[in-house]
Amino acid sequence: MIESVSLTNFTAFKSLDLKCSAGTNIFMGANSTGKSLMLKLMYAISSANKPLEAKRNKDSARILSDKLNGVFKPEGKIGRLCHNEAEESVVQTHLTGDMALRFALSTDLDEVVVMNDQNYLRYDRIPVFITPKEMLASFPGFSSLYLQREITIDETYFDLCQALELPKLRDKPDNLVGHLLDSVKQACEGEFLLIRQRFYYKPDKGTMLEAELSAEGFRKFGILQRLLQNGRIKPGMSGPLFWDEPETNLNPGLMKTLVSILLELARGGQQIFLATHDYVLLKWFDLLMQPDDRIAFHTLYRNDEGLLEHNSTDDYLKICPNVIDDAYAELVDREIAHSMGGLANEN
Amino acid sequence: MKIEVDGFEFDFQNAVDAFVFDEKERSSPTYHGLSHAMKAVDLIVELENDYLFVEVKDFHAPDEYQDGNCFNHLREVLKQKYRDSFLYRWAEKKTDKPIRYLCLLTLDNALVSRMNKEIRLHIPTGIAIERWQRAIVKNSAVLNEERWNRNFPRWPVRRVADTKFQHSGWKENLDSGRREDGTGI
Repeated sequence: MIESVSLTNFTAFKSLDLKCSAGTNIFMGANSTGKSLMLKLMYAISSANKPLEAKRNKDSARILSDKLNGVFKPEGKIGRLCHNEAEESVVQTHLTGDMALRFALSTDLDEVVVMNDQNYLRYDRIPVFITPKEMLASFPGFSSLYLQREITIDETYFDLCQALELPKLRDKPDNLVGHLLDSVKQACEGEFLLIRQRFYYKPDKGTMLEAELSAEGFRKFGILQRLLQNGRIKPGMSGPLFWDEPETNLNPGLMKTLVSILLELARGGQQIFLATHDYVLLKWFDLLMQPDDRIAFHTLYRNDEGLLEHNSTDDYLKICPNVIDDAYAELVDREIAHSMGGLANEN
Repeated sequence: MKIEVDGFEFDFQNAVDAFVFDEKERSSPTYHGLSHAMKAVDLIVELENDYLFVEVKDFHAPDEYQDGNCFNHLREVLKQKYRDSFLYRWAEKKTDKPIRYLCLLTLDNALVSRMNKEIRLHIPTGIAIERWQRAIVKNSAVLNEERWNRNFPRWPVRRVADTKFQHSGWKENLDSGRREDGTGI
């Protein structure tokens, strides 16, 4: 679990101190306010030290640098991730219990400098990052392409493919996962299967077809289905779930189901980080959340000087600034100006 | 001309007249008197060239209106109030100027936008059909407090302290400042 993240001079952030909820964290904000960046940074930190990497006897500086390079794809040195007015950047995070990590980036170094990695090497909860573009359709051959060619698609896509490739668990899912799998199957009206390195969609009614030919919204549920089946998402056991713009290509009618599933995952002990622009998703969280649900709404915005700041609240109504609601406000203003003619604004 | 209704104080600065249409006080010259038979909008404002019918709804739980049934019920209430008020004023021979229907609801902007569409669909605006010779409403608009003040700067509205709705948590939350930390998370 990620408990907190503090940034100094990291990319567009001059300074940021973020306390994370153990349940669901929802990032909101206009374009270019750092939502995806925050998700990727936290993913990089929590995924760099997965056991496989640790076995290679790399130190935390190297594995972190590799992961940050893979996730952010900076041109040249990793120091590119420093704020453009600074020569040095510091990132500090607290993970579950007594695990902490503090590292610096410098514009003239191509590796991070780890200042404190208290028990970080023991952190073994593997996170998963669900990318804005779903990967079931692009799955065939993508991992090979990524490994063999210099492409600018970031490592979260590769990691997702790796996670999807894992076979289903042999054991029967526990009650919660079994129940969630039923909900997912109902939402996408079928099941996605990996057969000879290609995903297929097997609808409840009708014949099986290639995943590419199935509805894109269904494929988003298909990703969730696969990750639940193979244990990469296992509430209480797996690392955080990061999902960048879950609403992309999803029929708004399915949003309630998606939010219900996410809430149940969080109630089962799954830490979740989402970035969204979507009113319907946000509103369903507001409507379905229970008093004990630990939901944090994190709003990122630029202040009058153009610097990125954030507000966090556990109350939907206190989200401020709320760019999604503001967008509707503009629509309402236009509607009223249109219908009221001269009485509006000039009355 | 200041007038208070349902926890809000309006100031219709250029009004010829403004009164509580849904008046329950028998001694008042604007006593409605037919509440048992006809619904009524909260306020009627007479401008130089128009009448405004104003309805105010402050909800304890605005989120309930996300639900289709509640939302449709609210629309029906707003529709009925307008129709009955129009008939009442017609009988008074007070439909001599175009009427505009304004609903101030404590809903978020997305729901306000949705209700605007619904109201326009259900209370036909202007000469809605060729057979009509006159309009029953010139136009209508649904707004929340923030949108009202933005769009009607010369008719400012504000929440009046010490109302029974003060602690509903809805608008005061919208207006509240930023919280700096993640308290309660």
